[in-house]
Amino acid sequence: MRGLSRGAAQQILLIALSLVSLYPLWFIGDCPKIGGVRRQPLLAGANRWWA
Amino acid sequence: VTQGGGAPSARHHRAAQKGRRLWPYGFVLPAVAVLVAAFLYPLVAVIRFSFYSGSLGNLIYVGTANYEGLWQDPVFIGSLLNNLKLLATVPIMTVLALIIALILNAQIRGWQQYRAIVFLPYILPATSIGLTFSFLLQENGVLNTQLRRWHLGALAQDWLGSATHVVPTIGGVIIWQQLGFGVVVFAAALLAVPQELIEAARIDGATGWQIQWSILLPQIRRLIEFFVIVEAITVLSSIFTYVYVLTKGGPADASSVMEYYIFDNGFDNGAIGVASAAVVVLLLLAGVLIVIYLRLRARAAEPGR
Repeated sequence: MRGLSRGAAQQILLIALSLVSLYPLWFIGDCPKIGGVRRQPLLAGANRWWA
Repeated sequence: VTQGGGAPSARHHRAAQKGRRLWPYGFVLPAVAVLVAAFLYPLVAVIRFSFYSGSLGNLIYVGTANYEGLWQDPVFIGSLLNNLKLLATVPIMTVLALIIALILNAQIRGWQQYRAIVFLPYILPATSIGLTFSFLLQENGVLNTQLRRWHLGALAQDWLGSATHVVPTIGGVIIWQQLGFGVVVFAAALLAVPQELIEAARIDGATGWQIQWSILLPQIRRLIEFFVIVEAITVLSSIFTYVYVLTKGGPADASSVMEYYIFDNGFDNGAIGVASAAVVVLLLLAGVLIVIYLRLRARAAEPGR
Protein backbone atom coordinates (compact mmCIF):
# COMPACT_ATOMS: atom_id res chain seq x y z
CA MET A 1 0.00 0.00 0.00
CA ARG A 2 1.35 3.37 -0.93
CA GLY A 3 1.31 5.96 1.79
CA LEU A 4 0.68 9.67 1.44
CA SER A 5 2.44 11.50 -1.34
CA ARG A 6 5.25 13.78 -0.26
CA GLY A 7 3.29 16.91 -1.15
CA ALA A 8 0.24 15.78 0.85
CA ALA A 9 2.42 14.95 3.86
CA GLN A 10 4.01 18.41 3.66
CA GLN A 11 0.59 20.07 3.44
CA ILE A 12 -0.67 18.14 6.49
CA LEU A 13 2.46 19.08 8.44
CA LEU A 14 2.10 22.76 7.55
CA ILE A 15 -1.62 22.81 8.37
CA ALA A 16 -0.85 21.24 11.76
CA LEU A 17 1.89 23.80 12.32
CA SER A 18 -0.47 26.64 11.37
CA LEU A 19 -3.05 25.36 13.85
CA VAL A 20 -0.40 25.23 16.57
CA SER A 21 0.59 28.81 15.70
CA LEU A 22 -2.95 30.15 15.50
CA TYR A 23 -4.79 28.19 18.20
CA PRO A 24 -3.35 30.08 21.20
CA LEU A 25 -4.09 33.40 19.47
CA TRP A 26 -7.77 32.46 19.40
CA PHE A 27 -7.78 32.76 23.18
CA ILE A 28 -6.30 36.25 23.33
CA GLY A 29 -9.91 37.41 22.94
CA ASP A 30 -10.94 35.18 25.82
CA CYS A 31 -8.50 36.41 28.35
CA PRO A 32 -10.36 38.75 30.71
CA LYS A 33 -7.17 40.62 31.57
CA ILE A 34 -6.84 41.61 27.89
CA GLY A 35 -10.51 42.55 27.84
CA GLY A 36 -11.95 39.78 25.72
CA VAL A 37 -15.26 37.98 25.76
CA ARG A 38 -15.43 34.91 27.98
CA ARG A 39 -16.32 31.66 26.34
CA GLN A 40 -18.47 29.29 28.36
CA PRO A 41 -18.54 26.59 29.56
CA LEU A 42 -15.14 25.33 28.36
CA LEU A 43 -13.33 28.10 30.16
CA ALA A 44 -15.57 28.29 33.21
CA GLY A 45 -12.86 27.00 35.53
CA ALA A 46 -10.24 29.19 33.96
CA ASN A 47 -12.41 32.27 34.24
CA ARG A 48 -13.10 31.55 37.89
CA TRP A 49 -9.33 31.39 38.39
CA TRP A 50 -8.88 34.80 36.77
CA ALA A 51 -11.69 36.35 38.73
CA VAL B 1 59.20 92.74 4.76
CA THR B 2 58.69 89.39 3.13
CA GLN B 3 59.76 87.46 6.30
CA GLY B 4 57.67 89.68 8.55
CA GLY B 5 54.59 89.11 6.40
CA GLY B 6 55.22 85.32 5.91
CA ALA B 7 55.26 84.20 9.58
CA PRO B 8 51.68 85.24 10.45
CA SER B 9 50.52 83.72 7.17
CA ALA B 10 52.18 80.36 8.04
CA ARG B 11 50.67 80.47 11.52
CA HIS B 12 47.29 81.21 10.00
CA HIS B 13 47.74 78.29 7.58
CA ARG B 14 48.68 75.91 10.43
CA ALA B 15 45.69 77.04 12.48
CA ALA B 16 43.40 76.55 9.49
CA GLN B 17 44.87 73.04 8.94
CA LYS B 18 44.34 72.16 12.62
CA GLY B 19 40.79 73.45 12.40
CA ARG B 20 40.16 71.29 9.34
CA ARG B 21 41.51 68.23 11.18
CA LEU B 22 39.26 68.84 14.18
CA TRP B 23 36.21 69.78 12.13
CA PRO B 24 35.05 66.15 11.43
CA TYR B 25 35.21 65.36 15.17
CA GLY B 26 32.71 68.15 15.71
CA PHE B 27 30.28 66.36 13.43
CA VAL B 28 30.53 63.02 15.26
CA LEU B 29 30.51 64.65 18.71
CA PRO B 30 26.69 64.67 19.15
CA ALA B 31 26.45 60.98 18.21
CA VAL B 32 29.36 60.08 20.51
CA ALA B 33 27.81 62.11 23.34
CA VAL B 34 24.49 60.29 22.93
CA LEU B 35 26.23 56.89 22.86
CA VAL B 36 28.27 57.73 25.97
CA ALA B 37 25.17 58.98 27.81
CA ALA B 38 22.94 56.10 26.71
CA PHE B 39 25.33 53.13 26.87
CA LEU B 40 28.71 53.85 28.42
CA TYR B 41 27.52 55.79 31.46
CA PRO B 42 24.91 53.17 32.57
CA LEU B 43 27.46 50.41 31.97
CA VAL B 44 30.11 52.10 34.12
CA ALA B 45 27.47 52.98 36.74
CA VAL B 46 26.18 49.41 37.00
CA ILE B 47 29.72 48.04 37.34
CA ARG B 48 30.38 50.65 40.06
CA PHE B 49 27.13 49.82 41.90
CA SER B 50 28.08 46.14 41.94
CA PHE B 51 30.82 46.98 44.46
CA TYR B 52 28.47 48.89 46.75
CA SER B 53 25.64 48.07 49.11
CA GLY B 54 22.77 50.15 50.46
CA SER B 55 20.42 52.53 48.68
CA LEU B 56 21.23 55.07 45.94
CA GLY B 57 21.51 57.94 48.41
CA ASN B 58 23.62 55.97 50.89
CA LEU B 59 26.09 53.70 49.11
CA ILE B 60 28.57 51.71 51.19
CA TYR B 61 31.62 50.18 49.53
CA VAL B 62 31.65 46.39 50.09
CA GLY B 63 34.28 45.24 47.59
CA THR B 64 33.46 41.92 45.95
CA ALA B 65 30.99 40.87 48.66
CA ASN B 66 28.04 41.16 46.25
CA TYR B 67 29.68 38.74 43.81
CA GLU B 68 30.58 36.31 46.61
CA GLY B 69 27.00 36.55 47.85
CA LEU B 70 25.67 35.66 44.40
CA TRP B 71 27.45 32.31 44.32
CA GLN B 72 26.14 31.47 47.78
CA ASP B 73 22.56 32.39 46.87
CA PRO B 74 20.63 29.28 45.75
CA VAL B 75 18.07 31.49 44.00
CA PHE B 76 20.80 33.05 41.83
CA ILE B 77 22.33 29.65 41.04
CA GLY B 78 18.83 28.33 40.23
CA SER B 79 18.17 31.34 37.99
CA LEU B 80 21.48 30.85 36.18
CA LEU B 81 20.74 27.13 35.69
CA ASN B 82 17.25 27.96 34.38
CA ASN B 83 18.82 30.30 31.82
CA LEU B 84 21.18 27.51 30.79
CA LYS B 85 18.29 25.01 30.61
CA LEU B 86 16.34 27.42 28.42
CA LEU B 87 19.35 27.59 26.07
CA ALA B 88 18.27 24.08 25.01
CA THR B 89 15.39 25.76 23.16
CA VAL B 90 17.89 27.26 20.67
CA PRO B 91 18.91 24.01 18.88
CA ILE B 92 15.28 22.77 18.94
CA MET B 93 14.08 26.06 17.47
CA THR B 94 16.85 26.10 14.84
CA VAL B 95 16.21 22.53 13.64
CA LEU B 96 12.41 23.07 13.52
CA ALA B 97 12.79 26.38 11.68
CA LEU B 98 15.17 24.77 9.17
CA ILE B 99 12.82 21.85 8.50
CA ILE B 100 9.85 24.18 7.99
CA ALA B 101 11.88 26.58 5.83
CA LEU B 102 13.09 23.68 3.64
CA ILE B 103 9.50 22.48 3.19
CA LEU B 104 8.36 26.03 2.35
CA ASN B 105 11.29 26.32 -0.06
CA ALA B 106 9.70 23.59 -2.19
CA GLN B 107 7.07 26.32 -2.83
CA ILE B 108 4.12 24.03 -2.28
CA ARG B 109 0.63 25.47 -2.59
CA GLY B 110 0.00 28.23 -0.05
CA TRP B 111 3.61 28.42 1.16
CA GLN B 112 3.48 32.21 1.53
CA GLN B 113 0.33 31.98 3.68
CA TYR B 114 1.91 29.30 5.87
CA ARG B 115 5.00 31.47 6.28
CA ALA B 116 2.85 34.43 7.35
CA ILE B 117 0.88 32.29 9.83
CA VAL B 118 4.02 30.87 11.43
CA PHE B 119 5.48 34.39 11.65
CA LEU B 120 2.36 35.81 13.32
CA PRO B 121 3.26 34.91 16.95
CA TYR B 122 6.64 36.62 16.54
CA ILE B 123 5.08 40.05 15.93
CA LEU B 124 2.77 39.86 18.94
CA PRO B 125 3.78 41.52 22.21
CA ALA B 126 5.31 39.09 24.68
CA THR B 127 2.92 40.41 27.35
CA SER B 128 -0.19 39.32 25.40
CA ILE B 129 1.40 35.97 24.68
CA GLY B 130 2.36 35.49 28.31
CA LEU B 131 -1.15 36.36 29.51
CA THR B 132 -2.78 34.11 26.91
CA PHE B 133 -0.54 31.17 27.73
CA SER B 134 -1.05 31.63 31.46
CA PHE B 135 -4.75 31.32 30.64
CA LEU B 136 -4.22 28.26 28.46
CA LEU B 137 -1.79 26.44 30.71
CA GLN B 138 -3.13 26.97 34.22
CA GLU B 139 -4.42 24.00 36.22
CA ASN B 140 -8.04 24.46 35.03
CA GLY B 141 -7.02 26.12 31.78
CA VAL B 142 -7.94 25.38 28.20
CA LEU B 143 -5.29 22.72 27.59
CA ASN B 144 -6.05 20.67 30.69
CA THR B 145 -9.83 21.04 30.19
CA GLN B 146 -9.47 19.71 26.63
CA LEU B 147 -7.21 16.85 27.72
CA ARG B 148 -9.73 15.80 30.37
CA ARG B 149 -12.57 16.01 27.84
CA TRP B 150 -10.66 13.68 25.54
CA HIS B 151 -10.16 11.26 28.47
CA LEU B 152 -6.46 12.10 28.55
CA GLY B 153 -6.62 13.45 32.08
CA ALA B 154 -3.39 11.64 32.96
CA LEU B 155 -1.55 14.02 30.63
CA ALA B 156 -3.05 17.10 32.28
CA GLN B 157 -0.36 18.69 34.40
CA ASP B 158 0.01 21.82 36.44
CA TRP B 159 2.17 23.27 33.68
CA LEU B 160 2.98 26.56 35.39
CA GLY B 161 2.52 25.55 39.01
CA SER B 162 4.86 22.56 39.19
CA ALA B 163 8.57 23.08 39.75
CA THR B 164 9.34 20.20 37.36
CA HIS B 165 7.24 21.38 34.43
CA VAL B 166 7.49 25.15 34.63
CA VAL B 167 10.86 25.69 32.90
CA PRO B 168 10.12 23.33 29.95
CA THR B 169 6.72 25.05 29.64
CA ILE B 170 8.32 28.50 29.43
CA GLY B 171 10.79 27.02 26.92
CA GLY B 172 7.85 25.77 24.84
CA VAL B 173 6.24 29.22 24.83
CA ILE B 174 9.56 30.78 23.74
CA ILE B 175 9.90 28.24 20.90
CA TRP B 176 6.29 28.87 19.87
CA GLN B 177 6.93 32.60 19.58
CA GLN B 178 10.46 32.70 18.17
CA LEU B 179 10.07 29.90 15.62
CA GLY B 180 8.47 32.22 13.06
CA PHE B 181 11.55 34.47 13.05
CA GLY B 182 13.79 31.52 12.17
CA VAL B 183 11.39 30.28 9.48
CA VAL B 184 11.20 33.68 7.78
CA VAL B 185 14.96 34.27 7.97
CA PHE B 186 15.84 30.79 6.67
CA ALA B 187 13.14 30.81 3.98
CA ALA B 188 14.43 34.15 2.68
CA ALA B 189 18.01 32.84 2.66
CA LEU B 190 16.98 29.65 0.85
CA LEU B 191 15.18 31.68 -1.81
CA ALA B 192 18.42 33.59 -2.41
CA VAL B 193 20.44 30.42 -3.15
CA PRO B 194 21.30 30.54 -6.88
CA GLN B 195 19.11 28.18 -8.91
CA GLU B 196 22.12 27.23 -11.10
CA LEU B 197 23.72 25.48 -8.12
CA ILE B 198 20.63 23.34 -7.56
CA GLU B 199 20.24 22.62 -11.28
CA ALA B 200 23.91 21.69 -11.58
CA ALA B 201 23.56 19.31 -8.63
CA ARG B 202 20.43 17.79 -10.17
CA ILE B 203 22.21 17.26 -13.48
CA ASP B 204 25.05 15.57 -11.57
CA GLY B 205 22.45 13.15 -10.21
CA ALA B 206 21.95 14.53 -6.68
CA THR B 207 18.76 13.37 -4.97
CA GLY B 208 16.33 15.79 -3.29
CA TRP B 209 17.75 14.94 0.12
CA GLN B 210 21.36 15.46 -1.09
CA ILE B 211 20.40 18.86 -2.53
CA GLN B 212 18.89 19.91 0.83
CA TRP B 213 21.75 18.57 2.94
CA SER B 214 24.80 19.23 0.76
CA ILE B 215 23.80 22.31 -1.25
CA LEU B 216 21.11 24.35 0.49
CA LEU B 217 22.20 24.01 4.13
CA PRO B 218 25.90 24.83 3.52
CA GLN B 219 24.81 27.82 1.45
CA ILE B 220 22.94 29.33 4.40
CA ARG B 221 25.43 28.22 7.06
CA ARG B 222 26.42 31.78 7.99
CA LEU B 223 22.80 32.68 8.57
CA ILE B 224 22.24 29.59 10.72
CA GLU B 225 25.23 30.65 12.86
CA PHE B 226 23.81 34.17 13.10
CA PHE B 227 20.40 32.85 14.13
CA VAL B 228 21.82 30.51 16.78
CA ILE B 229 23.87 33.28 18.40
CA VAL B 230 21.07 35.86 18.26
CA GLU B 231 18.58 33.41 19.75
CA ALA B 232 21.05 32.34 22.44
CA ILE B 233 21.49 36.01 23.42
CA THR B 234 17.69 36.45 23.35
CA VAL B 235 17.08 33.41 25.57
CA LEU B 236 19.80 34.56 27.95
CA SER B 237 18.82 38.19 28.27
CA SER B 238 15.37 38.93 26.82
CA ILE B 239 12.91 36.52 28.40
CA PHE B 240 11.97 38.56 31.44
CA THR B 241 8.47 39.31 30.11
CA TYR B 242 7.54 35.64 29.71
CA VAL B 243 8.71 34.75 33.20
CA TYR B 244 7.15 37.81 34.81
CA VAL B 245 3.76 37.40 33.14
CA LEU B 246 3.58 33.60 33.26
CA THR B 247 4.92 32.77 36.72
CA LYS B 248 6.60 35.76 38.43
CA GLY B 249 9.52 33.39 38.97
CA GLY B 250 7.39 30.85 40.85
CA PRO B 251 6.56 28.40 42.18
CA ALA B 252 9.09 29.13 44.93
CA ASP B 253 11.64 30.66 42.50
CA ALA B 254 11.62 27.46 40.41
CA SER B 255 11.24 29.45 37.18
CA SER B 256 13.35 32.45 38.11
CA VAL B 257 15.86 33.51 35.46
CA MET B 258 18.74 35.95 35.81
CA GLU B 259 16.73 38.89 34.50
CA TYR B 260 13.95 38.18 36.97
CA TYR B 261 16.50 37.82 39.78
CA ILE B 262 17.92 41.24 38.83
CA PHE B 263 14.44 42.80 38.77
CA ASP B 264 13.43 41.16 42.03
CA ASN B 265 16.54 42.32 43.87
CA GLY B 266 16.91 45.73 42.26
CA PHE B 267 13.31 46.89 42.34
CA ASP B 268 11.40 44.74 44.83
CA ASN B 269 14.09 44.17 47.48
CA GLY B 270 16.02 47.41 46.88
CA ALA B 271 19.32 45.51 46.84
CA ILE B 272 20.91 47.56 44.06
CA GLY B 273 24.41 46.16 44.67
CA VAL B 274 23.32 42.52 44.38
CA ALA B 275 21.22 43.28 41.29
CA SER B 276 24.13 45.15 39.68
CA ALA B 277 26.52 42.25 40.37
CA ALA B 278 24.01 39.90 38.69
CA VAL B 279 23.79 42.33 35.74
CA VAL B 280 27.58 42.18 35.36
CA VAL B 281 27.51 38.35 35.37
CA LEU B 282 24.71 38.34 32.78
CA LEU B 283 26.61 40.90 30.71
CA LEU B 284 29.72 38.70 30.77
CA LEU B 285 27.72 35.65 29.65
CA ALA B 286 26.05 37.60 26.83
CA GLY B 287 29.46 39.17 26.05
CA VAL B 288 30.97 35.72 25.45
CA LEU B 289 28.23 35.00 22.90
CA ILE B 290 28.68 38.41 21.27
CA VAL B 291 32.46 37.82 20.95
CA ILE B 292 31.77 34.40 19.35
CA TYR B 293 29.35 36.08 16.94
CA LEU B 294 31.83 38.83 16.02
CA ARG B 295 34.60 36.25 15.45
CA LEU B 296 32.30 34.22 13.21
CA ARG B 297 31.51 37.36 11.25
CA ALA B 298 35.18 38.29 10.98
CA ARG B 299 35.96 34.75 9.78
CA ALA B 300 33.18 34.97 7.21
CA ALA B 301 34.62 38.25 5.92
CA GLU B 302 38.08 36.71 5.36
CA PRO B 303 38.93 36.40 1.66
CA GLY B 304 38.64 32.93 0.21
CA ARG B 305 35.95 31.81 2.63
